[in-house]
Amino acid sequence: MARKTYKRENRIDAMFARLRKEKRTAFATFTVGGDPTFEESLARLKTFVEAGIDLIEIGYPFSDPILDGATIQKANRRAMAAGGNLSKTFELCTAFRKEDDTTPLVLMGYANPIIALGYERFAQKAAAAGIDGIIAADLSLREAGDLLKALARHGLYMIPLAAPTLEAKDFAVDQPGLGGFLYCIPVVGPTGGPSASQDAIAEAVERCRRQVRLPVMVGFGVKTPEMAAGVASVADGVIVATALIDAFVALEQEMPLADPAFQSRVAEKLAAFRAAI
Amino acid sequence: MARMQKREARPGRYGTFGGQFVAPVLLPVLDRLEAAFREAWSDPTFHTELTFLLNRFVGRPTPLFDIPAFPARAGGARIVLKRDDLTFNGGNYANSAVGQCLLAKRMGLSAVVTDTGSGQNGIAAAATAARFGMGCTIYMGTRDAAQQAAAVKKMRLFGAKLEIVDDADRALSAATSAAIRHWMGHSDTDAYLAGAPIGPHPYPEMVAAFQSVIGKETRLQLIEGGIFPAGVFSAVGGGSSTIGLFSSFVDDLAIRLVAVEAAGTGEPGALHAARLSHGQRGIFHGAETLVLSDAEGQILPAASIAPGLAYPGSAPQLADLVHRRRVETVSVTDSEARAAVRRLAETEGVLLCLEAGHALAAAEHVARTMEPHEAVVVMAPSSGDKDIDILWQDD
Repeated sequence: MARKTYKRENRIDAMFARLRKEKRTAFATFTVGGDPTFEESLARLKTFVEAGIDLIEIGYPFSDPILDGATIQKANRRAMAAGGNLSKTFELCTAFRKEDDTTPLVLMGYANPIIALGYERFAQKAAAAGIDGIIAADLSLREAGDLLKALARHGLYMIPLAAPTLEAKDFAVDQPGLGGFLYCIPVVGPTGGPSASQDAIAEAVERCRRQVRLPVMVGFGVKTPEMAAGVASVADGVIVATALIDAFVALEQEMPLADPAFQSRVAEKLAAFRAAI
Repeated sequence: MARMQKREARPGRYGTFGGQFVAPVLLPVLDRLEAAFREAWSDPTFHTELTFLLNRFVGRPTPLFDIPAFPARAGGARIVLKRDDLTFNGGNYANSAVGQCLLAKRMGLSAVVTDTGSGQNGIAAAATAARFGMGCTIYMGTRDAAQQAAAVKKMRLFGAKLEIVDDADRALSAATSAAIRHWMGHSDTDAYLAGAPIGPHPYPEMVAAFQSVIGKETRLQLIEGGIFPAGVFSAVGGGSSTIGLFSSFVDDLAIRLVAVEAAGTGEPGALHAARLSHGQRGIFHGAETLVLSDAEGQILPAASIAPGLAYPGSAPQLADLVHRRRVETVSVTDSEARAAVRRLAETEGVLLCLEAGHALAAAEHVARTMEPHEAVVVMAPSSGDKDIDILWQDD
């Protein structure tokens, strides 16, 4: 896909260039901005980086996360209950950027908060908050023309999503505003659902590579370090979301968030995945 | 003009509304559905079977019916009801349930999944799926299921699997989201059956096509009766009966098309369901349309005494017709709607649903300003049996 030159290189491109040199596979995770609170969320972002996560997807809380399974729906509700929304998620990213100007941040969510703000203002605010790309679950490329133009003007990428049944024309489009990586979804269904077999994942990645020159990352259904290792053997990156949120929620039942050991236990969970990837 | 039409023409666009705002995984499913629908719609044998089922299984054509004793005082226009309340199983929802099940069967699918608010779409889907020997899963909010206990029993009697959703608004909106999630995981075997002309293309077009039988019948019956209506009134929930009725009159510019929305209790600041008149442009359940949403783009809950009207989104075609000022909107409160239903029952022996009560109350109000030789048509989508407990509460 075409790459334009902006004032600075997009952090996602920089990350993949760095990992290629180091011959490493990217490890990405997902968290809902403001889940369970703004402060805890900020602390968690920092822990992610310390534990070796290369890229962070940040969900902006939405009332109706239709593509998501129960775990992420609940995370959205917790964040909304704590006052989270798209504006607060921009604030969270701005706060994170004060200490970290390297780790790529990818916003993930739904179209209505974006359209409520307006495509141009959204892209401008996202760029100002240090965001590098967006994943919009219900904004297919067929409908994304105006948004892509706005993103391109501000040096941001929309990350294309590729499902196994999707025709290439619906994900392998070469136009400004699209880039970063290809998000390969090897299963059909909402997040947190059944996992694909290793063969199915390999086949899905191979199909993506034939169509697109972008790095290919695999998400949806990666639940264990063993599965992550399998994905890492065929893809450029592994995205672990639901499994880690479930782990954090379970941890909250064991110890209070304020416990100094909490963040280190979180880091341990992440380290097991990092070691496998 | 060119400036107004900023967006290029795409399938499923109604002016700037509509589109396909879905997870990419659904695009091929929607493409297959669109192709199958176009192929079926141009096939005479499909229409023969559809008409047979509409006549014998649904109970069409439904009559136009005068209600001379209903108006509160002498004078004003004549009010005529389009009586889809006299159909079997689910009122006007049966029109599109039959069409969509027929299509799903033709596509080789073995089951349908849908959502229901007032229970009527669920009943229509369950009955039709039973007729076709197909599996049927229905999602319904906890709040709606508690209010519509008889509908729940009826759906189960038809063999449907009911999934009660205790999430978000615990009503139609949450049920729709849950049904779509189910569909995403089962699209190789299950057809999503849309109760309303909402959602991504081709659903609005397809549901409107199956519901157009209401408008075609009404137009013919008006001509046969020598009536040229001054206005056509329909309450707007998902918009299935409204699109169905309006579709035959959109080009008759002398006929006022009035979409009646639920104002809720009418108290200042209280929840309502008037998204065509008070909603903002947004993306919800797969289409760009008018939605009840806050400045941050969060979907707001909708409220109405009529369960079928309490939905925060709207049909993209209706959003466009309102945007183009072809369709007027008025809002009616819970108590006005209930009073209209009760008075119709007492004066005419016809028990309509609370959804229709909204349209009836609005029509009566407007009819008073008209001449006695004029007439207005009011859509009666289903009977009031489902609302007996709500109607009875204040006694």
